[in-house]
Amino acid sequence: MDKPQIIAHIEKSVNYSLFDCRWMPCSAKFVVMGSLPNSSGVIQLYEISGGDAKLIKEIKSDKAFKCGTFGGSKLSNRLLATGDFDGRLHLWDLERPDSSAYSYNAHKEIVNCIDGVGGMSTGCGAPEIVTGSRDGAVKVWDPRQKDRPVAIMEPEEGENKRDCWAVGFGNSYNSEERVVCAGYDNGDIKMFDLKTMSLRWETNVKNGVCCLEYDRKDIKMNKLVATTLESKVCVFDLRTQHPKAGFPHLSEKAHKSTVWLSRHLPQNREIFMTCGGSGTLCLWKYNYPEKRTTMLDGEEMGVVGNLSLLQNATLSTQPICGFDWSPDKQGLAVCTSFDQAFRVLIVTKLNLF
Amino acid sequence: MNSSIELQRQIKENAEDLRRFVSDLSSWEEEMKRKDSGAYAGSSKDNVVPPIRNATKKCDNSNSVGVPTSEEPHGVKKRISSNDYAAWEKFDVEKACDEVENSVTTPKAESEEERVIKEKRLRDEANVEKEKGNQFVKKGQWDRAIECYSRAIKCYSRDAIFYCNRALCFLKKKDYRAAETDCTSALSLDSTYVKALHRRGLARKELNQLRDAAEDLYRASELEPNNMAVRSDFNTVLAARISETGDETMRQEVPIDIAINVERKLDPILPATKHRPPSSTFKETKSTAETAWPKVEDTVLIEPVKIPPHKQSKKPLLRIKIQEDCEITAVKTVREHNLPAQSASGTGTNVRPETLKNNLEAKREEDASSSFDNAKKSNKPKIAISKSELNSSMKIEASPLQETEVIPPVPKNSVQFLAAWRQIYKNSKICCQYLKQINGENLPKIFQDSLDGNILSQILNILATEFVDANEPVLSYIQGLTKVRRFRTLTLFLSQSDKESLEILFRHTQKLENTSSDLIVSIRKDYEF
Repeated sequence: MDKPQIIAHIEKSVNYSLFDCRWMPCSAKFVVMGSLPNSSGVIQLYEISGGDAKLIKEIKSDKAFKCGTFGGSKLSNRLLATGDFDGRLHLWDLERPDSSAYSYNAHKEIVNCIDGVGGMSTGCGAPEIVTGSRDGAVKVWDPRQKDRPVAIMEPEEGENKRDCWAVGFGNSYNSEERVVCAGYDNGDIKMFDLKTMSLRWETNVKNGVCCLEYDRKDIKMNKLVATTLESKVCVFDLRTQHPKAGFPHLSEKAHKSTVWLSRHLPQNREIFMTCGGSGTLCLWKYNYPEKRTTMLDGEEMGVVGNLSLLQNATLSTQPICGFDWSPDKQGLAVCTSFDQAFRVLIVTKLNLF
Repeated sequence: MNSSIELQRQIKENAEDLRRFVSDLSSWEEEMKRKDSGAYAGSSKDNVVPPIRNATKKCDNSNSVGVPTSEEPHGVKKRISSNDYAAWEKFDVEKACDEVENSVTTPKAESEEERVIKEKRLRDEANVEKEKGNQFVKKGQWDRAIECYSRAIKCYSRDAIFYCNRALCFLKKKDYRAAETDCTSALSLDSTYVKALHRRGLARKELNQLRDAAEDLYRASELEPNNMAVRSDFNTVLAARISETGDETMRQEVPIDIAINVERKLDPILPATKHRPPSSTFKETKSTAETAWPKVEDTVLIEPVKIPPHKQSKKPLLRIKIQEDCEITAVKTVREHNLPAQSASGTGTNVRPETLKNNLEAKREEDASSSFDNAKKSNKPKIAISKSELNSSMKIEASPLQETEVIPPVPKNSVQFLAAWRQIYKNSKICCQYLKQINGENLPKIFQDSLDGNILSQILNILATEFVDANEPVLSYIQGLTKVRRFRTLTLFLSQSDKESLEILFRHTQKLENTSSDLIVSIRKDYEF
């Protein structure tokens, strides 16, 4: 009865393909980015005002933008990091949109995914941005170091390169600890420990990994949600790693199509939204088991809980490829879809969970 | 009915929720706008941000980044699923083992690299100090130079140059003991460091350790035969020794040595190859002067021969049969003739290594026939020994190769020529035959630009004696020589005897080959007559 509602509050069509959207921290503004028909890139900054989204700024670039994040930027400058189809990583100061603050030739091919951590708004530790690309490499960047990445995770020469579709930071609960998760088109999920510079854990979920997200970046890693092709949502419990069994996980079928995204609610880490290839949204709640660990071969092993579907909604006929919860207003979100429209969503009753 | 009422209530509630949310939203918008404008100012106070990852390892960043790089494929390899038989068939266990080993050694290699970098930094620092020290040396500020070199040594203690330079300062300060110690340190790092040897020699001379001084200077002159400073110091030390000790044997040996040195002084471009260092002479001096062996009539003392590796002969050892009078046959290996005194029979003779060598050379120079054959027949040879009336009652059977002086093949380049020439230059007949093989016009091609004055004068001498005696044509040779590169420089060093030889040759060629006087004049011009 007391189900949350998912309502499209504002819907706006644009004249270009949208790939990603992000709320600007500490504001009622969000950016949407994508590709113009001539495959040049565009970023638009909108502000919600009186039930409408008003375009404030627009940035154009010669190459289409695939993804962006504010995660690695300080609140004082709120630089938007974007990855484009040409493998470049840009940092944009939206106050001065004429040219990018920094530009790196990060990858040889399209930057599929990006994540940031360590800005004043999210997590502690150094501000860092991670990018994953079709060229198989995952690179970690520090905006203070202009010329080269601080870490590269890529297959060795001669190894066949997998298309990296998803990256995510996590475990950044102090200034040293930090892990990066990368998901690949063959279903591989690899967890790199940036403190020890080593591969910490890996698994395969059989289908290409479209999105990886830790429930929180700035706590000891707790949960990881991976969404894949073939309508699968996997949740890994990362609290306890067993030497052999690794991390326990559950998987759930949803959307009847590719699950493009999962996004945790910033105000409640047990609630997350998944976005499907058929234009549907699913709101999930993770329920912890009674005991989070059990013993196996004399070693502690994690126990995974279960998922309950809180609500689902169909917004479009096209896949929803971008979704972001507002960090400042619970229940407010923005999503983009391949139908060349973005929607500001309202999800009610989230405070009840 | 109930459900429909419930549904209506639900819808109403939802609408209410939404209305509330939207109104909330508008107030939130206002609030956010206010916050937003303050965001830049409000949060500008920077918290302490951790340093850039791996920034400390900037110098080998690529390396540190490489760690996870290598890590990942390991993971990929490990992940061959159990039912993927094809992959397991291809799985190379040995390679995997190697990889595991390599991955273990990687951090070690990295620390090794770090160590190398650190060492390099220290060495650079030391070199800077050295340069400073050199500047002070130029100004004659010995104390400050010593300070600099000491700091350099503190930074990097394994460079002989620092010790050697400091030794110079000590020498100048007349602190000979310290100079000697420094030189010894330098030599322990680099035993063929001529400057260190020279300076230690000087220091020891001042400390009145004449024997050691002579030894050092001798070794230095051996390593650098053209170093005139070393040579003159060596001579003064020797002279000092003679006047001091007045040892019979020394008096006997030293003048020869000095004579050689004087000769060298006269002709500074004499190549090192011609004059074998007077090792035997010197060694002899040493042995008689220093050894405390009981003087047994029938023994001979063998001194080890120290020759730097680059001067050692590359030729195989010769086998020499030594048969003694008292029917004891001992087969000894003797190094090729330019390494004398390597070995000799242990008992029954009083032949010194030097004389043994002399025997060999005398033998070689003899025409292989007479005395040797006689000796064979009589089985009781008497070998004449120059400048010593020691009577050897040995019979020496050298291998035929050594004995019957094979004429070396026609040389293709100067290296071959010089190698052959070094062996035969003492035997003018062989030289003559050797030269006859060579076409005079080919001389420039053979020598390129490595003909030196000494060889030239030797060739001229052979031409003027052997060729003229045998009535052989010489024109092509004297013409060929003029075509050698840098010949004009060589003519500056022609000695009087060379010029006399040339005169003979000119006359000879005019007579024998009917050379026109014009040509002779032009050749004369080439020889700077």
